[in-house]
Amino acid sequence: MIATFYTLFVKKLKFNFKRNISHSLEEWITEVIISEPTADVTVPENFLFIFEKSEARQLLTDELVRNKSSFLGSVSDNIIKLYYHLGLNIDSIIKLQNKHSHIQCQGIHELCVMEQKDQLQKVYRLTNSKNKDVRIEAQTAVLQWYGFKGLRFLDVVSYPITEFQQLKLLELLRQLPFSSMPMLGKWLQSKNETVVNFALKLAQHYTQVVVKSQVEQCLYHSNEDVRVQAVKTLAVIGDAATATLLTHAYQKEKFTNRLNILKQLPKIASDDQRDFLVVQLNEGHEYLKLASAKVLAKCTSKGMDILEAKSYVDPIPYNDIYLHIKSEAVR
Amino acid sequence: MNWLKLLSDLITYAIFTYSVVQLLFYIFIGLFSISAIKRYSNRNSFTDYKLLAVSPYAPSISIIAPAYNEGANIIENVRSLLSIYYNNLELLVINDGSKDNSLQQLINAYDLIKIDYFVSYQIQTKQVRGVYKSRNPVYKKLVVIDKVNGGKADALNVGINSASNDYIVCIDVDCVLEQDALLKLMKPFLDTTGEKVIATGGVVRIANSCDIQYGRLLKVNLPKQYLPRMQALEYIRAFLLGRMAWSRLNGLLLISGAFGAFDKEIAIKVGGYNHKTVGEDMELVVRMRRYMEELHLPYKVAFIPDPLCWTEAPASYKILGKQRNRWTRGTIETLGIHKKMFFNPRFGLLGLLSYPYWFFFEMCAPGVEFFGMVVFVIMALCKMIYWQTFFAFLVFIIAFGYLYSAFAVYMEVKTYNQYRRKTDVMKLLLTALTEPFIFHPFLVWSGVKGYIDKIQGRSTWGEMTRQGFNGNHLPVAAASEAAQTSNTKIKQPASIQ
Repeated sequence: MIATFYTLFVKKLKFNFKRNISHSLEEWITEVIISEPTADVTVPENFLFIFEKSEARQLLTDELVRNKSSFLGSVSDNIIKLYYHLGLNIDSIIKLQNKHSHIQCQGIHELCVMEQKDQLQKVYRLTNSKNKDVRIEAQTAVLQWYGFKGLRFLDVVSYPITEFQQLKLLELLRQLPFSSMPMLGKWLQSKNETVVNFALKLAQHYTQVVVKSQVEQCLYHSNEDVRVQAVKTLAVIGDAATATLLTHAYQKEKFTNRLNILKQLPKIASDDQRDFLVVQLNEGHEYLKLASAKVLAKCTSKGMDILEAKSYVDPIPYNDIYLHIKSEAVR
Repeated sequence: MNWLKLLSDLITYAIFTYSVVQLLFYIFIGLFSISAIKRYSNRNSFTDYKLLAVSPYAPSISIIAPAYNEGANIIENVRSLLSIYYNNLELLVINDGSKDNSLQQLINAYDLIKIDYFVSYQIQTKQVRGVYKSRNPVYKKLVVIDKVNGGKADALNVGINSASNDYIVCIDVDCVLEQDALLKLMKPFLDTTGEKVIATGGVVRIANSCDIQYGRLLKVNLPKQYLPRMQALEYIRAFLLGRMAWSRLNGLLLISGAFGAFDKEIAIKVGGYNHKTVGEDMELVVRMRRYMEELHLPYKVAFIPDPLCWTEAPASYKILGKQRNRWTRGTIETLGIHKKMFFNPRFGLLGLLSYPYWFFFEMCAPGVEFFGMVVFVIMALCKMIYWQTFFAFLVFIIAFGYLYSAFAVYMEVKTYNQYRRKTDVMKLLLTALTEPFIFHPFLVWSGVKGYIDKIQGRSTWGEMTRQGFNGNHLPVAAASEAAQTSNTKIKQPASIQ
């Protein structure tokens, strides 16, 4: 009970402290960041005392980091200048040495947002850190600083890159102008399966036809996730011949990737795949039947006729499948 | 009468050992939950969940919301679910043969038309009568499936069969979700390498007395009524401490039926929800785990401590009793179905720790406590009680229980701090004082009634009426014969055991 009320009391104290200084702090920050870039930064005397406290410095850093993300141009430059002038960058660098991973992450995040690119060496080393969270923040920072060039950490990273991190990196890249990725082919052959997976997503998103043959090799990768992603990538960068390749790969696959192949085929299939699709329509799981029917209807001439004929011969389940496809086509 | 003395000693020491082991478990759960919550908070302090909502690479999700006689609130509830911000999403509302005008209301409100839709019966279910989609592109994510009444599990199975996306999120249609609930729930699926996350769940909180408008939680308030407030404390204890600790150990057996996400492929492979049990939410998780264990596939059932979902708790003894009765039967049924795992080293931690814990301290607890009370009365009548020792133990056990509750409140204040006013925290702590005398004995009695009903072969859900979130009494469901006979859950609050 004592601990509970003490925690409430401390939270209240922190809240009041924050509220008391945040108003005047916000005013001062606003004044500084909208001033001319050449103007000197003068810290008000009443703040000098406050800034000796680590809580206040952290509060200021948080405020600057928050503002930095919302502004561009000279305002953004002034925020960095202020961060530098107050020595907050030193605080962030010190955090990199902290034994707690979340403090290290905080340090990297601050350095990243404040564009402290001179810390690249230290941060880059952390892109292959044993700690997953530190690794993620470091990879994000390197990418934010150097865009596509920052992807070079993929050359060396030996720990897995989670799906969430891949998604995050792709979103960051999407906001940047495209630049070539000469090492993409090498990443597609990486021993790290998650690097291969991520490289496949890059090839898909940026339609990197140049690595098509390496992507095709990934269809035979030992990791199922890689094979699934390879199919998705090939559906984007492939051609008519790719559809045949996928139908060959289909035979060796289990349910998940079989369904995936059938879901991707509409992007590249043609009449050449009709026989294969008719076989799939007659065999196996109902989800596969429905998926093959969709490809037949969409990509082959007389596909709908085949489905209609089948619905008469074998109404269960083909009549429902036919009506489903027909209804979907109308919608 | 040496044999009587021997028997009483035997019973005394057996109950004593049982209690000591249970207390040790509580201590272990408390300690383990600290590190689990701390780890989660540190890890996710920089997570930008919005990425998931907009990214084309985010996993595709089908939300499955079964509805039975929800006419009073169905439009608002569906609107609330449609407002969930997620790109790659479909919402399947399953009308489980409602006897009211739920379906017609949905058709009118969302401009639905019946379409030809192939429903695969991979999991055997009752017949689907029709599938509806909206003509209005604004509601393109919405699919309404009308089916013959078959109960909640059956409705969920229809949803699983019809879902076109990779992950399914099963939800009680009247639950109030936090804005980012879905994003937080999905992250664990993407955040692991090496092991497959097969299911995730999050903290369910009590919504009674909270300010809720248009399906959105505006202000959190501590429940004003005694029973919901007691359950608020109980939920904090169960979710923030219990589930987090078990999840850290990867020994979690239950994801709440109110809000949980599952890997669709695994859910289908194991045959979906079991409609023969009233504890279908727990049974599915146990079956999925068992499947992964039997195939020696690395997997995880994740749980996140963020409050994601708010649900209305029973405010009357009658409804609460029926709910707990059902939970007891659900536990018995689930553990009975999977008895093969009991102390079976082949199932690792699941067989050696999780299952036995649930067996002894969740399933047997009401029976042991009730038996203990009966023995106590007999011994007292026979003047066999050492009153000094008895009172010492009684004070100790009450103090321990209170300490555990106080610790749960402390963890809540330290982490999510949903009840910020000192008076609310004080009320929670004072409520905890009454638990051993009012609330707990009632739960024990409800559990015992659950045993009796199980023995008598009753398998009903029981009546569950709601007061409505704003205090307006909205009888969203009433007991009906059809529901009783078809095992239909009229409304199911989150099971928390």
